[in-house]
Amino acid sequence: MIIRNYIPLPKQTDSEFWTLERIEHIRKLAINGLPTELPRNKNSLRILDKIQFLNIAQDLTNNPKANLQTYVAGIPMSSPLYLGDMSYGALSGNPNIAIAKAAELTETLAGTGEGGLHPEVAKSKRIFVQWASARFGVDIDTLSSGLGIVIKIGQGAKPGIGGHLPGSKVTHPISKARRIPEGIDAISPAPHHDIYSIEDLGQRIEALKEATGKPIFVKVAATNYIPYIASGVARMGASGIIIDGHGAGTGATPEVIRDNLGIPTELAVASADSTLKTEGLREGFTIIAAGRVADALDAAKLIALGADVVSVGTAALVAMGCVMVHKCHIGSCPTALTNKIDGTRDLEVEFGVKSMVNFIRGFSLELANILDNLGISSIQELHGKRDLLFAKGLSRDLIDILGIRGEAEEINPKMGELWNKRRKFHLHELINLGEPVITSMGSVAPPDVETPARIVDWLRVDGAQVTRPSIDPYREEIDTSFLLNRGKVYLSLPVIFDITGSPEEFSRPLRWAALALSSMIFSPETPEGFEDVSFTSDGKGVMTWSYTPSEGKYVIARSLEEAESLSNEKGIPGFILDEDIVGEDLEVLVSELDTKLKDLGIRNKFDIIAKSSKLRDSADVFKLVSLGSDAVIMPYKVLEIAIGEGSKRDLRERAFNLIAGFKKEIALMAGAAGMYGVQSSLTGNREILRAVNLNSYIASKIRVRQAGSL
Amino acid sequence: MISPSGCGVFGVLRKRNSGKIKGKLVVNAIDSVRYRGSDKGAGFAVFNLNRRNEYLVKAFYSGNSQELEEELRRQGLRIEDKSLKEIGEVCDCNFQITISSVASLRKAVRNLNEIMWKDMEGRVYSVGRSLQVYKGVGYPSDIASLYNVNEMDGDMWLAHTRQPTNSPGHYPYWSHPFSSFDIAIVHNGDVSSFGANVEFLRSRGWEGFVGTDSEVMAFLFEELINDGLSVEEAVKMLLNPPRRQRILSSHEDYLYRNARLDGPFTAVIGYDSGDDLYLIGIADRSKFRPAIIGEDENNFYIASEETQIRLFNPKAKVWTLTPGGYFIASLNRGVISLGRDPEIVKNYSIPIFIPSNYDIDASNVGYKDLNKEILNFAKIKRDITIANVMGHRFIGINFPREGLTLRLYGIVGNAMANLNEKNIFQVYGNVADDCCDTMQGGKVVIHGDARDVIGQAMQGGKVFVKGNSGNRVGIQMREYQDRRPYLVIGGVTDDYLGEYMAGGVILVLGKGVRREPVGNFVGTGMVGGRIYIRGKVDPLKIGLQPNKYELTRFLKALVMEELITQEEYLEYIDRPYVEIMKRLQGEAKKYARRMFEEKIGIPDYEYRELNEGEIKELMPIVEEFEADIGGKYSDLLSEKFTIISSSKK
Repeated sequence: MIIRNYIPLPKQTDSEFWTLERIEHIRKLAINGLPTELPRNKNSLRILDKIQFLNIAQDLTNNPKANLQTYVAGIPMSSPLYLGDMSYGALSGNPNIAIAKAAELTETLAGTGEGGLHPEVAKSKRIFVQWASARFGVDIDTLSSGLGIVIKIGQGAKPGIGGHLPGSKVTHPISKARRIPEGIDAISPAPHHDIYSIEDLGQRIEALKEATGKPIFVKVAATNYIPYIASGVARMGASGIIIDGHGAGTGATPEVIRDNLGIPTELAVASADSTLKTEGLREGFTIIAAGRVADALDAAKLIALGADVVSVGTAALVAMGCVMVHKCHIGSCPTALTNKIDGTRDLEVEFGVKSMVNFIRGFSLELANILDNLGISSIQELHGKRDLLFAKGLSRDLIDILGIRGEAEEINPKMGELWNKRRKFHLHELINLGEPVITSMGSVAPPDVETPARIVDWLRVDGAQVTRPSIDPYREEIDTSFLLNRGKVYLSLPVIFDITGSPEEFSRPLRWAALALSSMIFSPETPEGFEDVSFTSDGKGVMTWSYTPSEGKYVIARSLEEAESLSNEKGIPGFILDEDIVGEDLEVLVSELDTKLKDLGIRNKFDIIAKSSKLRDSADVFKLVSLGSDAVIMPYKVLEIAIGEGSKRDLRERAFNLIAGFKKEIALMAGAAGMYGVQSSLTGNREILRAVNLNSYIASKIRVRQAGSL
Repeated sequence: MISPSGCGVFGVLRKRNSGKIKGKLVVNAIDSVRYRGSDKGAGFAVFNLNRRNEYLVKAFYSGNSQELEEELRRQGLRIEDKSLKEIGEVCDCNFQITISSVASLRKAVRNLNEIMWKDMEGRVYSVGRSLQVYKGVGYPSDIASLYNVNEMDGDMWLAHTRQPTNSPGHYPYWSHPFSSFDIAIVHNGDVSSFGANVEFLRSRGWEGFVGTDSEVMAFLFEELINDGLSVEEAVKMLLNPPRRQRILSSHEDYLYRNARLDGPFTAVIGYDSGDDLYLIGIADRSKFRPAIIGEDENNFYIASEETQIRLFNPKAKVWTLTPGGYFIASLNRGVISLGRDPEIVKNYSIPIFIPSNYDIDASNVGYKDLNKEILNFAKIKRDITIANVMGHRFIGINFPREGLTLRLYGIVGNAMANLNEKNIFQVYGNVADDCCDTMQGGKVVIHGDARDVIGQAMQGGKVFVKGNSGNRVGIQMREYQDRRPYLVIGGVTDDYLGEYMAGGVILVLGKGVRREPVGNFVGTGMVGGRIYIRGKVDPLKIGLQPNKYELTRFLKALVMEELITQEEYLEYIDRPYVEIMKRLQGEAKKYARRMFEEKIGIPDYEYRELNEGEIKELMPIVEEFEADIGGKYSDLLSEKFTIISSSKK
């Protein structure tokens, strides 16, 4: 079947960044190639949508005057648009050709991604080829066939995570381009194993320059240390950096990573631009901003914040017909963009080229209109003009990081739904698979798309890159175990399930799974045979809890003050902070007790155990540990919710899958952050977290800095 | 503000009966790898064993130095002498003081730093009796001439050239070495436990860090020593050994959570215990950063690159740290830990620098110009001999198809023969990291040792190493159509041999070695190809396997649900996971898979004699290896091998 038309847009019932409004706008551009009314994005929570141009006129003409010509490493571009790095394999061939051809026809640039060169793509003169961790299809010819080389270190949709194309997708054409046998799994390691540090990156940049004489770009995910990474990349002699923000698209990523790691591109770009300027490294260095660039207004704002060029990936796919079903990894894309290459369904190249060219032209005309409306004659003049911007609805800290004017607003952190459909579905898949759930395309997680329901929803986790490598939990050792009770108790992961009040049908499988996986169960009584995994009040388990202080027993504190005062009592191994009992946010409770005990110099004598009926997943656990808890007690309800309306068969297996899945997800996050000893390196490590527009008062209370801060 | 950095490091300690080490030599050794660093920072620490009760407090201060002096007095310190030096915008203020107790000095310095660092006005960067730090903004030679380091001598030296990814470039606060009393440290890496380590120090009353992991490492080491740990115990704690190895007791492990290092690091620590000087080198457990150890008649060395040691002594004995390994030597006690099995240390090679005839003398040629020089020469000669190669990088990278034969004498730097297709490299010496990356064809013969990550993503041709090789050998090797790469190692390899391997053949011969010639995690994530290792390899070393404790718990749970019998439990309990997996059936096996394995699974392994087909394939390769390397290897093929291949065939 040949696809040469758009398919109708399905209804959107869940929160989505790529709203029908945004998609329809792109379709209009792709059909007509003419500027049209920009989306309003009224309810968007994204930082970039809370920033507006002041004093901008609203005229719209097909013949705007502003000049968009820009130069990247000496390469003239008609418009500051880079068509971002989607590989042959992630896309199914014809879309790759269409993108490369469109770049040539419009005098823009297209990145080929990792996956070897499609012979038709190689014909385009306006491509950047990629040097990625697996070197698929790379030799001196491949490296020399573009205008530049991109060293791919990371991407916004999966900071710190490698790639895995299952053997079933390595069909003949893919095998040829990647130069690997058909049917064999194609693994891209999480880090480059020759780049573990900034001087290693410098070495690879220099080597590739020596080999080809081409300008070198480095693509990274937007993470905590982005300003340092950007200056390192510049100092190492690269011509530019591609900063790929949270929310960027992908063909396959573990959902837990996509939704919890990395920071928005707007913060990363602003912060990187400022630091590069301070360091005297900005001149002649290109910043390409990627991740959720949906229209010309996004582009204009990003350029005003410090980008030189913006990258479109998802928007390009939408222009070629993507309807955002988030199922690229399955290989049965209804629009023939990301489907398995087996001849059953193909995108018509001509349709792809036409749509892409129109989209790029329309987008550019809209951008020129924006410049006209700002009274600016060329794109260079917009560059770094932060004084044109004004923020509304952002926290004080964030406005400072962005370096723009604005009205600060400190938002109530808990407005959203604790258990939305997406979260339930994620867990449902997790208990069926027993391993991290894979998904595709951009994130819809809070705080940018879904409304945050807890403080943790505002917190992002770091991904290791450039200055340190990430660690692949499937191939390398990551120890998620936690010692509690002065080292006497071993947990294979910092998760304990509370089965108090649970029906037997859930409590029994959870208990067994806890035993099989060296986790623990919290409840009043200790059943025979489960002593080793029981955290109970009858004194028969491996750990005992109590409401009153007594030697050898964990105390359930009624307040922070109580916990603090009990730290003088003899023989108390630790404290349980129960959000339901204390009635304050668990994140704040944990962090404050952790801080207090540290100030008293006695922190490491105790365990702080966080407990709440409102905890949902492994990311909640991970973040609570980095705020200072030694283990987290979760409600059995998680299993009940995960099953949902589905059948209650095989509960034993599904309880096992739940805990095994959590363990693997924790290992994935730790590895992505570059840690192998999770207890020692993660506990209380707030440096690994960044807040995105979290209420400044709360952020300082839990000692977490805002994303993009130095 | 934090400030991760990459770098070059160096440390040298004299032996008991040798003379003091000249500063000039140290400056040369660190300046030889200045390309690892930048003009943003460098420094030296020199130790001269000294038992007097006098301390030198050295501080950078951007305010009025008079204020600083008054503050010192206010903190109860008696200033005997001072010297002030203006460097750019800051004063390098040195005060000779006498003290009543070390504890009071410690407190005074903490207070001073907290006060000064609040507005980033200044920093005490060195306090010590035998130890003095000299550091600043610039290349090592700049700092050396600023402080006249060339003219100094010492019992022990550390040196550093820094590659910051960020920090205000005009201040010296972020330069190495970092020092805390009698400890100085230089470090290459960026530890991921930084935030946790800072939290640990916070609980010990430390605040106001300049924000580099290296400073934090110095403080951590000091805290551990102050808690009464011995040098070796403190080192083991910092190194963060895997729990499964039970090197730390559970109680220590618990008590010092947050006090251990994670992520990439190679650090050189100098420590004055009061009556002895210690030189310590540590490498993280994945050995993400290079760490070269050396010894000769006079000195012990730790370096980022072999060049640095060779500049001191071209004939020094040189070896590498194992992943997670540590080297400790002291002035009085000599070697305390080699950082590697002594039997293997014996086998490392010493390069030949100058053959009787040669075409190019590389000692006068920069690393970038050597490739040009070779190409010039190639117009008249296709077989080119090059003498005095000393850490030159990227050799061959811009002429992969030239079809030359290069004979290289000395020590070759990083990234040789990357992308190579048609050249032959004969190296009469050692090769540094990242050799033969993405090699498509041709041949590389190393008559000495190779370091880490040799043959990554190699897709064709042959690589022969006579001696030992390092970590991650032959990772991602692959074959396609008629191209099959061969990698033969005559000596031993470290961890992660053949990780992610997708094709081709690795042969590890371990000649002259009695123990297994490979490290841990052999063939993790392997999807194709074959690894042949002479002799029996402990099955625990294959792939990534669960720890014993969790496995036992798991088996108990299987018994409880009658998924296995009590008898089976007893039979399995002492077996390695790979053996248990061969025996588990049905649902029990499904649970086990889901618990520990990903889709790729743990590779298959066999221990047996090579079959006819294998001999037929490998014999010509080994004969070629013999012809290139010299010596007898082909008879080894009749011995038993451990054969590792993908379980997903």
